[in-house]
Amino acid sequence: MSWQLRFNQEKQYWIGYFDAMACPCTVFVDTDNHDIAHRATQLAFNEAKRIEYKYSRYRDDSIIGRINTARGQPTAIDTETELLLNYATSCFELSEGRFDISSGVLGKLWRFKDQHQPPASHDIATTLKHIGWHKAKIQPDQIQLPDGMAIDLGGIGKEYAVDRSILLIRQAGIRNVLVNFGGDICCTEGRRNDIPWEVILENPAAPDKPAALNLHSGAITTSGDSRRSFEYQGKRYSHILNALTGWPVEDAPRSVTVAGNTCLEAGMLSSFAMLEGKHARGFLQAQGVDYICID
Amino acid sequence: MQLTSEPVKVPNQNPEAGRDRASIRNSLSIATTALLAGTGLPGSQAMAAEGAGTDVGISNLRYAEYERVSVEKTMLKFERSLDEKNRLEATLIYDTMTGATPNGRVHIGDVDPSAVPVTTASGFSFTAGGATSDTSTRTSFTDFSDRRIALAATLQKQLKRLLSVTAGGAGSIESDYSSLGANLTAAMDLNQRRTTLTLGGGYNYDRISPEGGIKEGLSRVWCGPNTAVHPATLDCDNDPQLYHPANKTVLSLLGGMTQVLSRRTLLQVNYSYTDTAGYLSDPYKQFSVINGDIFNADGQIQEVGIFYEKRPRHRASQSVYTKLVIDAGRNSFHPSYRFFWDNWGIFSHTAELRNYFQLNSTTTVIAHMRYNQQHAADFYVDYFLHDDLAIERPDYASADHRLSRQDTYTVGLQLNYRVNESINIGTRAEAMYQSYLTTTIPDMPAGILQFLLKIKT
Repeated sequence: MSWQLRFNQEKQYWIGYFDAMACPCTVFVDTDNHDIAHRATQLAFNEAKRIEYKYSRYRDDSIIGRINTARGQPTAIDTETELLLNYATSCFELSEGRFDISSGVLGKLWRFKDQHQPPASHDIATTLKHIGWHKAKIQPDQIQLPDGMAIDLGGIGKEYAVDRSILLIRQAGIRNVLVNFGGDICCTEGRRNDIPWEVILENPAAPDKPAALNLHSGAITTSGDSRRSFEYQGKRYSHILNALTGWPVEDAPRSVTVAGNTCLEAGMLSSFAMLEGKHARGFLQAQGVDYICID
Repeated sequence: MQLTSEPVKVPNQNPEAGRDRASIRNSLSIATTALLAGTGLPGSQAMAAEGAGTDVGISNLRYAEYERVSVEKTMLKFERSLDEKNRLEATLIYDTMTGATPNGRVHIGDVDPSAVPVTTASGFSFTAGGATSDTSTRTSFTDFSDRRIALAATLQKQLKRLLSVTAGGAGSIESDYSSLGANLTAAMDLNQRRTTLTLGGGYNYDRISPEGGIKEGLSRVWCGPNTAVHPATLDCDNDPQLYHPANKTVLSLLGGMTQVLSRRTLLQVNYSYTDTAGYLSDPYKQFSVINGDIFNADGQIQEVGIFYEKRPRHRASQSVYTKLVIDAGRNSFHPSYRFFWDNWGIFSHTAELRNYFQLNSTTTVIAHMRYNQQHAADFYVDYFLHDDLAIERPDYASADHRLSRQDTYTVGLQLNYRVNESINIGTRAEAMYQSYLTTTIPDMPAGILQFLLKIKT
């Protein structure tokens, strides 16, 4: 429940390490000053843990836990939660229903790790009855889900934590910081003296030949199924599930990396791109963003 | 010189408006800003707002008709998001127009067609009443040269999550014409953003002040010495009345709907109504009275009179427009059709197809084809035969080629190239062929060449 700080001799910057939101987190601070690096890592750690505890679906005392066990009754929410749920609504509408924070329950059917055939369509149909973000009633101070529906901010929470951490670090006056929460990256700006951050991108098709990217500003996120997918009857299914059909997306790239101004924007665009399946590249081209698609 | 006699365009009448898929990124950016800014930390707006700077667009366009009109148009456009709810656009346009345009008269024999009449009954700077037995008629041209400056600004405001309003104003000035207008449009999203309804209105006030004043319609420019123009119809005897600047008002209404049919297709339907009142004639356009049927003359054809055109003081026009946006991956097809009609008897069909092709991550190619078929106004004439005029006086008459029966064919190609994340350049070329189904006006080929530059700051 704590973090470590080490000075990297080769790069000449400090790196803070901790675990949060079920992934390894690192904070890169391009300075010689230990106290500044300490402060930046502390801010990122506190914010990541705060968001993890508040919005974890695994904790009954988190706000998500309370919302999901309300059994059809309204649950009181604060401003931050209302803003996150409104954001989820915008993403639901922009994806025409395919991105849906109430679709997490499909994860029980599609386990991927030890799965060799799809779940029964009867099970999928039954599960779909409890999915559909348009059925939720959101008001400024409360939310009411239909009984049986459960929400999960997994597709938003990590990116939100990254962006919030960067904002807090900037507010503290600390410069030249890059935050990486499990592959979701954002920076305050480049390194000292206008040098860019060097970011390594894994290539699932060639794990021994990663790509190097230079980041001067903004965020990079990667969506991918390099570890979780399966083949069935000649089709490859990614781990991105389409909330409307209950099935995984077919023929999605194995990895989509998108650059954006914020981690939230880059993350959602890479998720939308994966939902487009084989049209991922065309979608990203139409958005005019920098991207890398690996099949 | 009045180059345009169209009403002010209500926003979203532009066929390219309506949701396209690239706006997902813009909408997402707005949503992200709302989330991060709402958390109360300074700098969150600047971090998330993609359009925090100003977009600047510069374009230079050259339009040239074969042996007729040339226009050069330079445009400067600024777009800026003031905050996550407000967006401002301002456009400045500078045009220069030169060349020769048909004046409505018939060119007979060796008459010099290029002069402009003066107001007095004597001392013309052109020679009229030429005679010929040449049955290949031509239309008579008048040289002109003019410059125009126009300025337009719009403010788009997001009132609620699903409702936005755009208010705009525009004005333009040229040597003999000025225009001022305002418009207001509201757009509302329904059905989880699958449907967008648009409603808008505009008002324009134009002032027409040609050099030398405006003469009363159907009054004489010139009558031949042994004039045979029948006194009961067109009057050769009285000096034409001279008026000071005239004006016209334009009221326009637009209603439309954009509907997402599927993930790959979008349908747009618009209806518009425009009501124009006031002085609607062109003070520079005239028509000829000739003494014989050009195609059946035995002996010589002679021009016996020239009169100012006259159009009604009211025009009500309507149009319905429909467009499909079909997304086929790298290719995107936009077929559209418009039907236009008014109370002057004019109606037209326009069929258009645009194909957007994403060549690679930096280059887009746009192919364009258009066919327009226009039917003439009730009061359009190529010219009058003297004998016909003895029978009945026309209420209105115009030989303006823009009101005649014509077919226009257009093909074009545009190339857009993204130099880097801040700079986009483009170039467009169009070839047009306008075929006039009249006896007097020759077919007209024309071309457009345009260069565009867009900078994000």
